[in-house]
Amino acid sequence: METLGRPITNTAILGALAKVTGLVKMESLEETIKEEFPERILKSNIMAMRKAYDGVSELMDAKNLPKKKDIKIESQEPLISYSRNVADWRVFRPVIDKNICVNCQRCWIYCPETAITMVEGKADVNYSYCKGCGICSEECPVEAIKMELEEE
Amino acid sequence: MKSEVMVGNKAVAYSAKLARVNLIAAYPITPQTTIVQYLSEFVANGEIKAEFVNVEGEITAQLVCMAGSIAGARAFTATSGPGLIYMHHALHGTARYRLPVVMAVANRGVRTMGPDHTDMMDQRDTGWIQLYCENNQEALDTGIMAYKIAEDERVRLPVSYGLDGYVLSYTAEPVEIPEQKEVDDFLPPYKSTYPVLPENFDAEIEDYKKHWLKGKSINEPFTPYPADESFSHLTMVNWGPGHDQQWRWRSHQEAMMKAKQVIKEVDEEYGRRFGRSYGGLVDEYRCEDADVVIVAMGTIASTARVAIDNLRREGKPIGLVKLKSFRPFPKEEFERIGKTVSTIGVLDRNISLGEGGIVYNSIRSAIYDLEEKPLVLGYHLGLAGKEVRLRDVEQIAERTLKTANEKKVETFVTWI
Amino acid sequence: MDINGDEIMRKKMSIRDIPKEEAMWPGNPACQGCGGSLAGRLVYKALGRNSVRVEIASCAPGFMNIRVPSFYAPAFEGAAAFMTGLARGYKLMGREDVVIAGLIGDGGTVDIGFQGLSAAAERNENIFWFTYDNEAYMNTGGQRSSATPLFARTATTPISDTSRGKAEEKKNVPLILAIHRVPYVATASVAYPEDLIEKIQYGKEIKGFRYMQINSPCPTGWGFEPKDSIKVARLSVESGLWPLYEILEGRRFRLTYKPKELKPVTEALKIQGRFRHLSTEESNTIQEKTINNWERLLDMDGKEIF
Repeated sequence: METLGRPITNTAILGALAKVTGLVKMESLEETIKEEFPERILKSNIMAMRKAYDGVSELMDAKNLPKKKDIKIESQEPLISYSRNVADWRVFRPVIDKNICVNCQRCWIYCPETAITMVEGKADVNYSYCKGCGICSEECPVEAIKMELEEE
Repeated sequence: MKSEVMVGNKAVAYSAKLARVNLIAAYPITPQTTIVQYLSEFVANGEIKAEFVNVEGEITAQLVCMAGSIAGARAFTATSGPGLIYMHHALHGTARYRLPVVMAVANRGVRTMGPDHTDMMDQRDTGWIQLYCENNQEALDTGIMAYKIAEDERVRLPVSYGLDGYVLSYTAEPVEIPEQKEVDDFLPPYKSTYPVLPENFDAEIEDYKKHWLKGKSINEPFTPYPADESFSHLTMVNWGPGHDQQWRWRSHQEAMMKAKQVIKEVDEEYGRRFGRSYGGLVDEYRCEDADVVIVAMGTIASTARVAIDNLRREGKPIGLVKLKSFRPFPKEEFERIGKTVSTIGVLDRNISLGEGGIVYNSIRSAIYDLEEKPLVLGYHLGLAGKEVRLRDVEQIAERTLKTANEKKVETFVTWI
Repeated sequence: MDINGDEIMRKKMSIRDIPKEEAMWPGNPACQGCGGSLAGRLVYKALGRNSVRVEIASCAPGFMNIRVPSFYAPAFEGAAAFMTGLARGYKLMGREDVVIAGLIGDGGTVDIGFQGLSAAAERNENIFWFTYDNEAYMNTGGQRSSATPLFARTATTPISDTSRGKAEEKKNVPLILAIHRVPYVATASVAYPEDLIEKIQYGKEIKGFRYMQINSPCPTGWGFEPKDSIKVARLSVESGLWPLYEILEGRRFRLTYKPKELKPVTEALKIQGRFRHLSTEESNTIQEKTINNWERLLDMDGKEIF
């Protein structure tokens, strides 16, 4: 995110892969990228690759990784199995300032996921189903919705 | 019981009327066109109460029948030759969704106007049941039996039945028409088992989830829940553990195999009620003490009976096996027959280009595991509507007998 | 000649009149910001749950969370035929109250499904057909359909010195269907939900063949950020690229939204990656055609056109 400004992971993963597997040298990767990528995005991608390369931490045994706990789904609807939890698609999440919200209901009607409902005259997001597309934030006429980076 | 001299197409129309179809998809193609014309007249003068849809093409005809069947209608359509191959895309759909649609096919070559069996043979892998008729009476009777077979719980598969184009469809023969009341006794009304009512939606989803989340082991055969993956609001439920992607093909194959028994039962019941039965999957004519048999489908079988009689008069031990059900293929019957004869002559009014006669190859495969195998010879005749004369069939019978006697094969396949 | 009184008397719908109940549960695998998913939500919100859905090969089966009986037609070209069969079957059941509807992509409407569509319209089948138009075969990666607009880049109309995207203009299905003399044809946009829902609620009460084509921006295929989906839809309407109108009984034409002044088309086009390659000349061509078309529609507005 820092170098490219967009959540596109391809080159970063190449860098990390190079470090972890040792299959290919960073120099070879950089050379290839120079041939393939257009000028304007070259520098930022190389930076992303290098950052990922350096950022790879100590290799560890997978057995030692903490077991994934069963995450309790917060949901306003009973979770029907074909309503998927799409929460992990998000890079950004919409945060609604209820003090600014004027109940115009545009975010509610424009959400493709029905993730927003009006609760006591204010918009409310169901984060289990929000994909973080950002339409609500873009359409809010009073800028009550900000897109914030999803915490890890 | 009424009796009338009528063309094959009219007999088919009567069978649909007596079976109380209520959804008819109509599209013209020679030589079945008058089927849908007769039906349109029946509907217009109130003899049939049905939704009559004049569609713009055969794919639509099949899809309309399919969707109507899902919604609980007893559906019927008819086609021939190129119309049938155009419909191919939709045929897979009807069979896949296990819908008891019945279709009459006035057999016509896929590339020509004249009658042969290449049209229905071309659809043999679509999963439809395929029956063949040798005269107009059989066409009418089969048209009624078809619904009973298709709608049977053990089967639930679409049924197509063929009558040779022109030779039957446009030729008049005397036909006995059963009474409506008696057909009603024989054929109860159709009930769809598919999830179609919006008000039941929530309950059906819950029910369906319970069924699938029970989970099944990967090798365990099972019958799918009647409203299966084809109804997409139910697809979206996660499959239980051990889900086998092949299950649909497997359960379809199992239904096809069960259909053999059902066809025999229905034919036998029809015989009891109406006085006419057709032997089930095959009809064996003078085979009891035969050393040699010939196998034929459709009107060729009718001609062959005369040939057999002539040869029997000369003392030759020959019989006819008329193949009525091509799908499911009566493997067990041929195994049984193969044990008692020395030679089988197969009359194919079709061809699978690059391999050979389709029935010929099926029979060879059916008898392969016998310890003492009969010789199997293949003959191609009647393709592209070429006339099949009595002496052609006699010639074939004679050659088969000759091969049996000399126990020497000159050639395995002959074109007549 | 002026429109009959009943059209003028139809109440203009506001956002507060839109029904609150959803017929769609949240959480489907459509792309972030999918216009089609929103179209599906709005359509079934307006139709209510006493309806069924037919779907075919397209992105629509991905909007799987629509809570009405849904049937996957096994033939891509067969949406119209399948809907016909269902309509007749439900009629035989005595349930003509159930709306037989389908959410069909542009490919299944305007290309492979066109024969069936025209035939169903000609037979005036009692169905309500919704096309969510993302202007290409998006589910298979964005190949050109005849609903793709002029000069748009698609996976099969790439950009080079000699290949400038789609060489032909968009096929005008609403007018084609209107000539079939069907009771109701309309265009709509996901950015104008009040207009869309009001039209559906009006059309729902009519018996016979009804059609609505909904402009559904596709962030993935058109090349813009998901958050701009509604913006692109709105600008398309405001610039005249996607006029909102309805045609009743195949004759009476009415524009349902008339901006006082059209915005320049470049505002809508420059956000979209599929038009990034446009030269000034190409841009001007699109602008000219749009203005001409708009003026023709203004001329037709309120009149009987056939």
